[in-house]
Amino acid sequence: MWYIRALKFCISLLWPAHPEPAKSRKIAGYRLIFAGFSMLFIFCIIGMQSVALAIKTLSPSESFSTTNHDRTRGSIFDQKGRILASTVPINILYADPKHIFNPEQVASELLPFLPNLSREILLKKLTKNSRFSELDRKLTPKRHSAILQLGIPGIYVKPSTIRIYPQGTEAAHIIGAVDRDNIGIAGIEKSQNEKLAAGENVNLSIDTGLQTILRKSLKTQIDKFEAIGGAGLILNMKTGEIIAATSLPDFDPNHIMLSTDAARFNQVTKGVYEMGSIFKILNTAIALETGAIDMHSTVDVSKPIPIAGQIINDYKPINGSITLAEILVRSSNIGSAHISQMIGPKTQRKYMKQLGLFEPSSLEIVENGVPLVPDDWSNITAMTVSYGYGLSVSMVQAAAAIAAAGGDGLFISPTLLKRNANEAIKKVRIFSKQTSKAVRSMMRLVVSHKLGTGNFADAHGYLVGGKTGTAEKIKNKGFDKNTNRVSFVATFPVSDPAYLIMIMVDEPIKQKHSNNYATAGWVVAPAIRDIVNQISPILNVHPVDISKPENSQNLLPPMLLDGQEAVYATY
Amino acid sequence: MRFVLLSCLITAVLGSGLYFTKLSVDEQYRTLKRLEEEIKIQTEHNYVLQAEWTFLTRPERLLELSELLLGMSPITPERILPISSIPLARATSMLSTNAVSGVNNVVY
Repeated sequence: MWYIRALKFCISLLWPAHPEPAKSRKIAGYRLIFAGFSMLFIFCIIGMQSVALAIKTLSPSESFSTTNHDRTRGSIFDQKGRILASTVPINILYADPKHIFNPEQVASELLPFLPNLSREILLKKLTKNSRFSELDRKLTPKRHSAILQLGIPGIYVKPSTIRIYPQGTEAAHIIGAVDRDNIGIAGIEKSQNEKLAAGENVNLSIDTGLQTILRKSLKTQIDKFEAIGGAGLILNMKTGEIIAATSLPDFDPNHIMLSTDAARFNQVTKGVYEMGSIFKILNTAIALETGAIDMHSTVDVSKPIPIAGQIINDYKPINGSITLAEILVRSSNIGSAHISQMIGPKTQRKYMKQLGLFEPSSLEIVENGVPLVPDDWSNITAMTVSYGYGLSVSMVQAAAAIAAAGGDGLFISPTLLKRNANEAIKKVRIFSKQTSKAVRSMMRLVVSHKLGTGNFADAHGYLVGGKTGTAEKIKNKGFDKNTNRVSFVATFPVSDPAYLIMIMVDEPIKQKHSNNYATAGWVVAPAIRDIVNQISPILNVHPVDISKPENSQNLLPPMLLDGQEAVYATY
Repeated sequence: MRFVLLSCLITAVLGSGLYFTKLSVDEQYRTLKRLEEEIKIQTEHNYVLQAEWTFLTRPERLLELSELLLGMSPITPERILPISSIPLARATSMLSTNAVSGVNNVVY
């Protein structure tokens, strides 16, 4: 091989087998050159290595970047920038049982500072066959200091982080919660987990101030009527943002494991219900839009309608024929059923689908209810759907659909995320401006006219419009007249609706103070009035003077109701 | 021979220069790391303080305290008026020429 020969040649030059004395000086020269080059080579290697190390250290991505594990989970803020969820540092108290020589004594010394542990459990943890035994995950600074002063060998503290929810129960169902490893398990925490885990913040459309008002008013009515629960939401009709959403009973996400299944259930977005008479708004809007009926035609509502072994009846029987407005104002099931036949099942179904009632809403939350849509949309289905039976949807879906009918005729998908100031909002026209104007006017009369079912919702000056709904719950394979789910949907001010409030109360009980009524008009309408009165100044909604043309032109001219001219101002 | 010695000298000078540069860079990095640690601690403190502030100023608590301690209640619609209903003074030129008329110059 050539390189072996070359090596042998080099060796013979530097260390000849029998060096001649005359050549020894030359050989010494070769040796010196060899040593010099070897030194140079070694210095070059060291130099290059130093440069390589220096360059490597200079790279910030390797030396000072934080890993995903160390990165703090992003916070969740409300619309006004208040913290809804945040991550804060905390200390974990743990024991290394191998370093504990007298567990009995250690347990006696530690027990006063660990209120959540019994002596038996603490002893078990101190004698565990492991090098890490967690004693307390949420060590407060005061207890931390006290335990450190005890100076017990084998008891250590490890820094960690914890997810906290400073607003407590407010909007708990929307925010959700995380598990022990800070991974979202419910609500926005779950749906936006990827973003939050990457350290990004999430801004919600929820306003905690409005949320508090909604929750307080709803809770007052639930307590007054001894109901089992309830839910409510406030929707910005111009942007589709849900600015408040509450479901009672609720839970504290700081202690989610202590809550019941019922408390964790989100009735606003997850629960799907037959909405009852508030669906008459949609039926009325479809009828006007398709020209099935006009504002002056009348419908005979004196005779109950027998269908499939059931009878469609009115809560308070009405004699003779009444107009479309009176059907809505007096909440006539018979009238609505007749109108549904004028519309036709196919057309009604088409509009219901356009209003997003056949698919789960596009809400940014995992708890999104799937609507229960009848397979066969027959004449009977059309009749029952006209007054809110046979089609189960979530409150959010119903609110978005009614916002289209009772707003400006435009459907906007609801959102829980705060919209940017210049964000383009997708709006789909479902109803004409004239139709929505008529629907708004009729919704106002439900509240302002003495025949209306929602008089208690009239917040003076704010021109509240709305519709009551009382749906019987299914018990023992049939509808139970005594267990109702009452609801109210309201928009204000009806001259230019900006906000929609929807409230549902589950199984209210008739009370003496309500003249033995437990209908939506008695149970929910007062809550609507309280909420409108309190949130309007916050939302910059001013009392409306209906006598001014710029306001009155947005409603129909005063119409005849019960033979008298009905006005939009308070009766 | 001269070449070897010169090369060794250059290498030694370059090596020393590099060594001192690296020492200086390391010192800068230590400062940077200390500052980053300080920022991290302060940020964590900030998180805790923000959370405490949010907890203490949560609307539910403010609502209770304002009712209990200050006797405050939600504003009623009667107390909200349009800007046009506020009495406005006339133009200053008119006031200066007819200052004695005082409150009569106020238009309602």
